[in-house]
Amino acid sequence: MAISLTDRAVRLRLRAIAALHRAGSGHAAGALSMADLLTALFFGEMRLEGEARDRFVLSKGHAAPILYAVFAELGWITQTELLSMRQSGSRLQGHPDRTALPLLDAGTGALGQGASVCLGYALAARLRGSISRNYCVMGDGESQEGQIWEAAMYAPAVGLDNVCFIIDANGYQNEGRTAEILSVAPMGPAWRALGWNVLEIDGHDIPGIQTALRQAREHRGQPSLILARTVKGKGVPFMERGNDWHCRVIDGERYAQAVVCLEAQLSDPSLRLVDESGAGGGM
Amino acid sequence: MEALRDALGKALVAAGHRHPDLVVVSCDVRTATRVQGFFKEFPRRSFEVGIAEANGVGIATGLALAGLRPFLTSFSAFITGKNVEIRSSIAYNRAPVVVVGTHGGLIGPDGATHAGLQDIAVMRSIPGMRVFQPATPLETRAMVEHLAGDRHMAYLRIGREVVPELLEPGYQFVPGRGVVLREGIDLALISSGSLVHVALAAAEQLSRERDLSIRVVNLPSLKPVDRSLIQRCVEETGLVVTVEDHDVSGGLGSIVAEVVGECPAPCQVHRHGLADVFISSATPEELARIHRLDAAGVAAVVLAVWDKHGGPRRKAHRPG
Repeated sequence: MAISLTDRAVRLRLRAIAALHRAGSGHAAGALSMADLLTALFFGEMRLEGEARDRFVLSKGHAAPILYAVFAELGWITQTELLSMRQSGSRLQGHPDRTALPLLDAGTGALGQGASVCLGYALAARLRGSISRNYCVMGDGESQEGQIWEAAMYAPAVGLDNVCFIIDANGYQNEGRTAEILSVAPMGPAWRALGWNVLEIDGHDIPGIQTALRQAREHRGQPSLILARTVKGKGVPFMERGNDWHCRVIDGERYAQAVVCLEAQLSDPSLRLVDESGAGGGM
Repeated sequence: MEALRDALGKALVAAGHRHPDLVVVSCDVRTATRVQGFFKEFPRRSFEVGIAEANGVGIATGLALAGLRPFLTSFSAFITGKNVEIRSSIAYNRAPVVVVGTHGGLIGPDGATHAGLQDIAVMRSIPGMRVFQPATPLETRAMVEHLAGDRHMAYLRIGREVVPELLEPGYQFVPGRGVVLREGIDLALISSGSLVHVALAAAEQLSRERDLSIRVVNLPSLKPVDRSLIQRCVEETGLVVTVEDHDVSGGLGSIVAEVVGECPAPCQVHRHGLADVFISSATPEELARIHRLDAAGVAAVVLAVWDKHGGPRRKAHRPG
């Protein structure tokens, strides 16, 4: 049975919170907000194999659990390995480490840097005449970093149209609301003014994300920016309110509640994840 | 006589012909860093990122991860100031980027903001980062050729001085290997980069005037460093002076002192260079005089060290 993208996104969330619960630390809500974006990217849009495979840089490296969840869902790593995240000896570091996990196109963690690395990949692809496309997901709070704007000026200046940046605009950062801490609004007009093909979408509407990714791919002469409005903690109701779950530990009780909420969103109970570690608890 | 940055520019063009994966990233100083020749010769493999060094670091990282060999070029003071970007983008990814910092040392009237005087300390603290500094035009060419064919991350520090050639044709640069430029048994004077020429002149002067036998060592590879050569200097001379156009905290002096501290034989190390200060605007010659980094200044420092530690020790060892 082919798994629908909606079910994929729920399974990514289930995998990510399992890893976060097991780790006892990490960033839950900012990982959940981008689950639908990664679903559309990795389960349809991106060319994942071959010489001209597309590149993906997670500039908001603290959302690593959802990217590791994608790798598990793709079968590139096991669920057992996913649950080793943040533990000594694991390839799944708290923030992505490419030297430990070569599946990653870039190790990230210090905010503001991934966009530039993505541009380096894009320049290399253009130099070689490769059709490879280059994606980078960053946060709206992360856009406070000056380097993001250096990258934002550079890509249009050199006409890099094999680049698509995606802002996971969930409206929050570590200390609170991005609009209150250091507003980067209006982001759409700002990026457009610098020469980007800006597509503003609902970051949880998977068909809408797919359409935007296709429009970005077909757009020539300019880099594309998908400004995705998202909800931090999306999919787990008690995480969707406020900013409490930026990096809060998911204890056993909360984890059980989250699993119930998420499993109820699956179209078929058989799509629930099977625990490969033998530790019980529904995962 | 040739400026090392001119040697750098020519060496990059030559290496560019032999290594099709070599690319250059510039941060709006391609004339001053002398990489404009590469830009002219290989426009498609040249990337001008503007006055945006952080983005330049990231772009170089992506180019390197995609299999190319980028030389990221700017003034040493500016580019090594992007510490968290170099650390987290280049080094954390073990991306094979060569960071080239020109204008290391006492650069002259542009003053403190433009002079790279802490760059070695910053760069050598980064995991996996090699640190090299050439003393002559030939050594510059040899280093560039080595780096063009290599996949390690490295920092290449280039001074602004015009210097003569010291090395024999056919000189091969080997990471981790130092070079004895002048033999001697009383004291080892260890340097790197264009200060090597000053060290040699000071050694000649002290030989003439005081009959001192001073060994002059060039350390082009600061990380990895030639531990066995430093150890030999300790065993054979028992007294070490380092001379550098960089802060003595974290630079050549620290590097040598760390190795000497791990040697079994006790040995005094005197670190001569900039000590916790910014330089000011002046000609390079005036700055060298002010900071006692000209031949007369280095000779005076070495003599003082000799009189304090070397002479008495020798008397004790060789009574009568």
